[in-house]
Amino acid sequence: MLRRGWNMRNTSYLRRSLKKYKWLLLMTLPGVVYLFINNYIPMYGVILAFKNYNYVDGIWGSEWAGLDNFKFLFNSENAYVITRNTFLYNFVFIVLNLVLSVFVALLINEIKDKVISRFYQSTFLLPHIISMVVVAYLVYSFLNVDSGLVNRLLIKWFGAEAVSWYGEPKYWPYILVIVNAWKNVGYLSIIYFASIIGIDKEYYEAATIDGASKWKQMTRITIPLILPVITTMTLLAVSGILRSDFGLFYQVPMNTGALIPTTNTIDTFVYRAMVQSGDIGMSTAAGFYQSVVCFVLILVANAAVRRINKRDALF
Amino acid sequence: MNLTKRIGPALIHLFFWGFTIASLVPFVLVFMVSISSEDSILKNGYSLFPSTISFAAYRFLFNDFSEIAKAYGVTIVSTLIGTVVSLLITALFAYPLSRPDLPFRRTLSFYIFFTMLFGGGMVPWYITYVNMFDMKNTIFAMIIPNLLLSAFNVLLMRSFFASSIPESVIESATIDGAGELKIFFKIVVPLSLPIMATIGLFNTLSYWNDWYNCMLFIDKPELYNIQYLMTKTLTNIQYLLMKSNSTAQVGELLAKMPQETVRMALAVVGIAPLLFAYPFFQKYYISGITSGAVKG
Amino acid sequence: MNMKKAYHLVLMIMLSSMLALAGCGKGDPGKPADSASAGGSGSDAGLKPYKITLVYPATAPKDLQLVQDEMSKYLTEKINATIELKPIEWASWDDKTNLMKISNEPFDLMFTASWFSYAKDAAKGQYLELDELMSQYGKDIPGVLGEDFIKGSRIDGKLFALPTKKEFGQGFGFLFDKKLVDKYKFDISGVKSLEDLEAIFKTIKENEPGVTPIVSSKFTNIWEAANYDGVVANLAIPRGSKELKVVDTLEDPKFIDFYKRMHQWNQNGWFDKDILTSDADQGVNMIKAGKAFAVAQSLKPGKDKEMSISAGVELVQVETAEPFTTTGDAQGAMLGISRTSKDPARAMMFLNLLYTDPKLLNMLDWGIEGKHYVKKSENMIDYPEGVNADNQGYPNPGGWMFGNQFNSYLWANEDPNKWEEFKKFNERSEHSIALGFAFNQEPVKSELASISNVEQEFGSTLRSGAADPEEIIAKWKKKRDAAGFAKVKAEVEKQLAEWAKTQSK
Repeated sequence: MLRRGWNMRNTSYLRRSLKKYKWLLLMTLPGVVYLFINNYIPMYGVILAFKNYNYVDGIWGSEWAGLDNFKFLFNSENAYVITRNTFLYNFVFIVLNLVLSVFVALLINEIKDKVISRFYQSTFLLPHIISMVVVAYLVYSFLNVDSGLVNRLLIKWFGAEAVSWYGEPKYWPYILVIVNAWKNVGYLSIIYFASIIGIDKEYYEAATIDGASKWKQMTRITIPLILPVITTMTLLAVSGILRSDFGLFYQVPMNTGALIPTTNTIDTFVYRAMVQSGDIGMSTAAGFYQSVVCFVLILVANAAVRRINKRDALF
Repeated sequence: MNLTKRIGPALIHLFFWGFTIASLVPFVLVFMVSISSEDSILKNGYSLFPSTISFAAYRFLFNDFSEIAKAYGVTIVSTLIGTVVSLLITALFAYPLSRPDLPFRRTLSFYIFFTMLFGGGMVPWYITYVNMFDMKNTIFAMIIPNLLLSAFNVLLMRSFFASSIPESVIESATIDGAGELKIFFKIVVPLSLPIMATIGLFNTLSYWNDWYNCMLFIDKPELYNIQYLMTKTLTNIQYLLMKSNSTAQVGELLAKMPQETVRMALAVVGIAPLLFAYPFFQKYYISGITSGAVKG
Repeated sequence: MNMKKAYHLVLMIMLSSMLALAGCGKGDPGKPADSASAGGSGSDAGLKPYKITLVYPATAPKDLQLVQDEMSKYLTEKINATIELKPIEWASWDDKTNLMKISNEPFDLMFTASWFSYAKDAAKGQYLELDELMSQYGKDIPGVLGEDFIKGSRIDGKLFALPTKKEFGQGFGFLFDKKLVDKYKFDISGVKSLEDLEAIFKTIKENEPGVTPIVSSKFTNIWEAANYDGVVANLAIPRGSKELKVVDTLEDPKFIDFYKRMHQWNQNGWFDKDILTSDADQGVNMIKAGKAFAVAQSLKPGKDKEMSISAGVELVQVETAEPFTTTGDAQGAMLGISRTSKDPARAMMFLNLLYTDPKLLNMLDWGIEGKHYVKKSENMIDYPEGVNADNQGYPNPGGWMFGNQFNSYLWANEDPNKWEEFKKFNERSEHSIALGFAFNQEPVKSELASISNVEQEFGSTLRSGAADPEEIIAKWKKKRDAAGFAKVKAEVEKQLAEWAKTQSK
C-alpha cells in the first residue's frame, strides 16, 4: 500500500507537499513512534502461533509447528458454535448500543437545565466504572436461586416458581445483552452527546424559523451531522467483532458449565482450553485467527463506506 | 400543541429517572453490602436495607492506612500525568489526519487502525518494555504501556475534527500567515473543547481503573496503585475458586479470604474518590462543552 | 528526506530491535558457578556470597523485609547466602510467572505443583534435573522424604522438583454441623456407606425445615477422587485395580450408578438450590448461619478443628473413604530449581536446610520469634500480646509449600499431636498402583483443549445431580468423541504401558 502511494505521485510534487505539511507531519511523530514501540515491535510475537514453544530455546529457537497450534480451534463442532456466538453477540451489541446511545444523547440534548443534565450524565457513566468482577457479584445478587432479588419478586408478586437462572442457558442471551447495554450505553451516549454539542446552533435556528418540528430537526439535522462519528464508532466496533469482553462472558455467568452453550465465545473457549494445557502457542494462534477474520471483515466494511463517502472511511 | 410540549419533557425525565435508578442502584447496593454486618448477609443475602449495620469491613481495610494512602498517591500521580500527556499526543495525532489534503493520510490512518486488529500478544509486548526500556517497578510502567495512546480515541477524535472544524476557518488562518502549530493551539483546540473534555475524561477513567499494568510490571508493594490493591483480593478469590477442585490446600486458602462485606468495601474504596472528584471534574467538562458550543 | 531511505531506516530499526530482543532471549542455563568447590551441606568454607530468590504464590505481607533480613542473617552463617522472598499474588501467578520464565528472569526456586503446570514446565525445560544436585548438596533430603514421595514426583523417571513433606494422600468426607449432630445423636464413627449417609440426610431434611442437608457439588468431586486415580479427561485407573489399565469413567457402571443416586439426592431436595454456583466456602458460611448441615471436604487429620477455628462454628468431620495416594497428591506442592538459577548448587543447599533445619523453616513459615509469635513450649507457639489474626505483620504464607512441614511449629489451639496423626495418616493411606505415573499432554494438547471445554460444559451439571445422568452422559460422550477422545485414550494407554515397563525393571 505504501509503495503504490509513492509511485503515483511524482517526487518533486512530493517534496513540495512534504515541505508544506512538514509541521503537520511532525505533529503525528510522537504518536507514530509510540505505536511503533507499543504495537509494531511486539508483533514479531505472532510467530509463536506457528512454533512449538519451549523455554530453553526461546521464541526464535523453538521448532516450527506448522498449523498445529490452530488445530484445537477447529477439531470439533466448537469452532462453529463459538464463532457464531461471538459474532452474533457482538452484532446485537453494536446495533443495540448504537440505537440506544444515540437516542439517549439526543434526549440529553433536549434537557435545557444544565444542573440536571450534568447529573444525568454523571450517573449514566457510573456503570462503566465498576469492574466486571463486581458486576458479576451484583448480577449474582439479583439472580441467585435462593435469596436473589429477581426470584423473590417473582414469587412475591406473580406467585411464580423460582427460576434457576444459572441452570437455564436460554435466558442468558438476554441477560448478557442487558448487562452489556447497562454498562456501555451511558458511556457511548457521552461520545455522541459531545458531537451533538459541537453542531453549529445556526442550523437549528434556521430550522425553527422554517417551522420544522423537533423530530424533523433530529432526523434531518442532528443525525446527518453526527453521521461521521457514528460511522467511525461502528467501523471500530466491527473491527472487534470476533473479540469478546472476557469478564462479561466468563465472570458474569460465574463460569457455570450449564450455561456454556449460550455463553461460550472464542475468548472464553481459549481460556478454558488453556486452564488445561496453558500453551502460549495455542493462545497466540487463537488471537491470530480472530485478527485475520476481523481484518477481512473490516476491509469489506471500510470499502463499502468509502464508496458512499470517502471522508467517513477509516482509511 | 401546548400539551405535547409539556408531555414531551416529562416523558424524557421519566425515562432518564429510570435510567438513573438502573445506574445508581447497583452502586448503592455495593455500598450497603459493604456496611452490612456479616450476619445479615448470611441470613438474608444482599439487601438495600441491611438488618444490622457494621463498619467492620472498613476497619479491617483501614487497619493499615499507610498502604492505602501510598496507593492513592501512585494512582493520582499516574492519572494526572497520563491524562495530560495522552490527551496531547492524541490530539496532535488526530488533527493532521482530519485534514483531507495531508500526504500519506490514508497510510497513517491505516497504520493506526492496524494496531487495533493485530497484536503480538502480551509476551513480546512485556519483553519490549522490560528489556528495552527497563520499566519494571517504575511509575512509568503504569503510564506508558498501552495506556498512553488509544488508537480508538485517535480515530474518534479525527472524525470529530473532520466534522466540526470548518475548513474555511483553517484556510483563512493560513492566509493570515499563521503556522500549523499556531492554528492547532489557537484555533483548533478552543473549537474542540467538547471532544477534548470527553477524551480527557475517558483517559482519566482508564488510568484510574487500570490494574493490569500494575499487576504485570510492579513487584514492589509500595508501588501498587489503588485499583490493583483493591482488585487483587477479588481476583485472587476468583482464581482460587477456579482451582478449588485441584487441591485441598486451595480450600483452606479460600476459607481465609475476606468475607463478602470486605469484598464490597474493596470495590467502594477503589471507586469512591473518583465519584467524589467527578462533580468537580464534570464542571470543567461541561464548561468545555458549552464554551465549544458558543463558537458560532 | 528521501522516503525510500526513511522506509529502509524504519525497517532497520525494527530488525535491529528484534535482534536485540533475540539476544536477550538466549538464556544462560545456570551452571553451578562458584560453588563447585563446596562439599555437602553445612561445609561453608570457600562459598562466595550469593542471593537466593524464592518465588511462591502469596500476598506480600507487611513485614516481609524484616523476615527476609532475619533469614538472610541466618543463611549467611549456614551457607553464606542471603535470600530474597518473592511472593506473587495468586491471581497474577499464571501471567507473571509465565513472563518471568519466557523473559529469562534469573531466579532460583519456584513453587510448582501438578495443578500448577509442573508437568508442562518440566517438559518445556524450565526446571533443572535434581538427582545429581541432590546427591551432592541435598544428601539429607531422601532420608526425610522417603522413597515413595520422591518416586511420585518424578516425570519420566526424572526429578524436576522436590515435594513438601506433609500429608501424603487425600482423605475424603464431610464436615457436619456439630450442633445438629449432637441434637440427633448421629453415630458418626459408624458411617461407612452411602446408605448410612442417606439416613442422616433424610433425618435432617424431615426434621429441620430451614436447613439444607448438603451444600455444593463438592461431594461428587470427592467421591470421584476417592474412587479413581484420574489421569486426564475421564480416563482413570479405578482404586484397588491390580493392573495398570485405564477405564473411561463415563462408561463405568459404578460411576453411572453413583450419579443416578446423586440425581435422586437432588430430587429429594438434599442439595442447595444454588448448587450450580455454590462452593465449599459458601457451604461453611451457610452452616455458620444455621442454614445448612453438611459440606464435603478433602480431609486430613484435624481438618474439622482447623476449619472450626477459621469459620467460627463447630464442625465435625466424617470420613467416607480411606485416604488414597495418587501422583497428584505426591505432586501437590513442590519447589523446583529454575534453569535461570545462577547457582543451582546453593539453591539445593537451601532446600536441604528447609527439610532439615527447623529454625529456618519456621522463620519462613511464621516469622520472627518474639515479634510475630511467642513460644509456649518446645514446638507450640501463639500470638504475642496485642497481636491477632487481623493485625499480624507476617501472616503465614502457606507452610504447606515449603520443605518439611513436620518440623513446623504448632499453634496453641491446634492438636499437639498433629504431626503424629499425620504420620499415621500417611501410613494408612492406600497407594494407587499408578503412583508415579504422570501423563505428558504435549502429543494430544489440541484434543485436550477441546475436550476440556466439553468437560466443563457437562461436568458441573452432572456433578450437581440436577439432570438425568444417562441423558447428560450420552451427550457428553458424543461431543467428547467429536473432539478427539479416542486419540487421547490411545495416547494414555501407550504412555501407561511404557511407564509400566520401566516399573517392572
